[in-house]
Amino acid sequence: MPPSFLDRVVRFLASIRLTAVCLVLALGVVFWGTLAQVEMGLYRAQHEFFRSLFIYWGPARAAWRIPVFPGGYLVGGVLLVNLIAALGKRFALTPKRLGLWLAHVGLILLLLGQLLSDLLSQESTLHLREGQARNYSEAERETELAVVEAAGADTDNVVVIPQRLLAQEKTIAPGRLPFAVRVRKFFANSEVAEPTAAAAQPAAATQGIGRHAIVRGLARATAMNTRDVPSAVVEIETPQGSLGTWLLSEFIGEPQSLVWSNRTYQLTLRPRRYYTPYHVQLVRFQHEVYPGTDIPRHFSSRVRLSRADTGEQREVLIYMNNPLRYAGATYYQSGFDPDNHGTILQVVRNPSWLTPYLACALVGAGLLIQFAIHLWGFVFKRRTA
Amino acid sequence: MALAWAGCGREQVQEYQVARESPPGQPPALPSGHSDMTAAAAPALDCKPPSDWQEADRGQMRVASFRVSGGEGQQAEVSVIPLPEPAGTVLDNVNRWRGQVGLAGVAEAELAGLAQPVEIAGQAAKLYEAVGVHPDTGKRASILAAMMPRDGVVWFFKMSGDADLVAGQKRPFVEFLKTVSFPERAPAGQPGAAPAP
Repeated sequence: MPPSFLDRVVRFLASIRLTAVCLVLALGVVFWGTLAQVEMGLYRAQHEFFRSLFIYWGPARAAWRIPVFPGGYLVGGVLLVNLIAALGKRFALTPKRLGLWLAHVGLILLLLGQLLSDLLSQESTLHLREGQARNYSEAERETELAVVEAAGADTDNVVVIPQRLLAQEKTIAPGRLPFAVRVRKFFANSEVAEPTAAAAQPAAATQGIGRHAIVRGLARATAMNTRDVPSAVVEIETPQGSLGTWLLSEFIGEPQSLVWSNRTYQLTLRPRRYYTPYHVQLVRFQHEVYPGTDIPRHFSSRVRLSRADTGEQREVLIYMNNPLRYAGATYYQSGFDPDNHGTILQVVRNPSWLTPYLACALVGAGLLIQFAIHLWGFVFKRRTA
Repeated sequence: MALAWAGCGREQVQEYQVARESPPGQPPALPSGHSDMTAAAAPALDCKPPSDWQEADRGQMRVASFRVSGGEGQQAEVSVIPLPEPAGTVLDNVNRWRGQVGLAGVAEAELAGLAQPVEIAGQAAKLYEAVGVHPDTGKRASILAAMMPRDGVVWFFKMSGDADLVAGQKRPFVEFLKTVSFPERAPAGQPGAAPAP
């Protein structure tokens, strides 16, 4: 009896040939993606080559692009299905194949863990001056529009619109606000300047700083040491009509006021914030150089961790290769201010940080067991021969 | 499904309540025994412009602004603008200034060759000069600019205008940068606004 269509599909998905094709394609993606970082920079290359189903190509300045190669997600996804299918089809859990089975489970866990890291991990920075305390870190490469209203003597109500929604340039009506925010223009990278008498460009907005400024879109920053400066022109729409337009930009930084129905709101475009239930305060930053040179020998940040809900108060020293791990976040010493009175900590949250370790342990144990089974069989055969 | 939710949940409008952040210079809830060493609240500076510079409207972004006039109707203006960090890298800003006078951008490696050492508020700084043609007016235009990070703020000092006038004003501009000073911060525990006992 010929195999059914389903059997053929399963056999194809579980085939070693598919594994080989996936590995070759993965090699191609990694090679091409690594080369592309020279032109695109790390972050864009990661996005276009590894965090995508397809790699697209189009002529320079053309509006269209076509998929020309599978991207990281597609190759990884097919490889994951291939491994799961192979595990079910070819490696039934028997004592003889325990090692192979464990190794495959480890590989599946490795791929799944990487996907989880990609989806769930957050990277941000915490910039503190000496004495300053903060209960949030900021994602430098993402922006958000914050509408802040005083809720009491020392608390604020905050409504935050993330970059992905801003980039869609549509009208957003958050439930807590008595008005809608219409994003008329969003610039992922931009420059804000004062209008010159000779320039014909009109003012960027009708309200706030934008009345005295112009904004221009720029190409995305690609180098590792540069970052985009996003800007947006937003219109505030109330049931009674428009209140005007505001230019919001990370270049400006300062919040701009908006008054509606006797309530004051602050509008600001700022790096995306991740709040924590605790404060981190920089007590002291120390920067030592080798005598007679500017070469850093040692730099460290003494920080105070304060948590109101548990009463926890302790000081921690963070320096190179000695991060602070707390409440699922890891704080690495990353940089410092030129005047040596401020520190920059990189904050990484990765809920699936254990999976690569577990996956490698499983693969290692599986290979060891499989080797031991073969060795045992070989030795046993020789003795009985 | 769970993965898709995890990935997309972060891209929605969020509403929350937070403790109000103190303005810069007044960190919240400092534990006892630690002095306040942060920057002063509002960016401010003192400077002595040359006598032939006329004070101009400062607008909302500038803390100092001057107009300089030369022969044959030549004009230049001087501005001092503080912006919160990072306010772009030096390379970004130099290329922005060059673009304003119609010059092509330079690479990072070429920056060092363009920098001229100057002194701002007693600290070493770098001055960048760009001479070209204004893209809108078609006249020869020039920009002298320096930037200095200080206490979380990047200070931009810039003179721009007709090329011949700016060339003649280069020395006064460099001398002007030397006169810049930043007001001292109030010592810890003695805020500047506190009344005398």
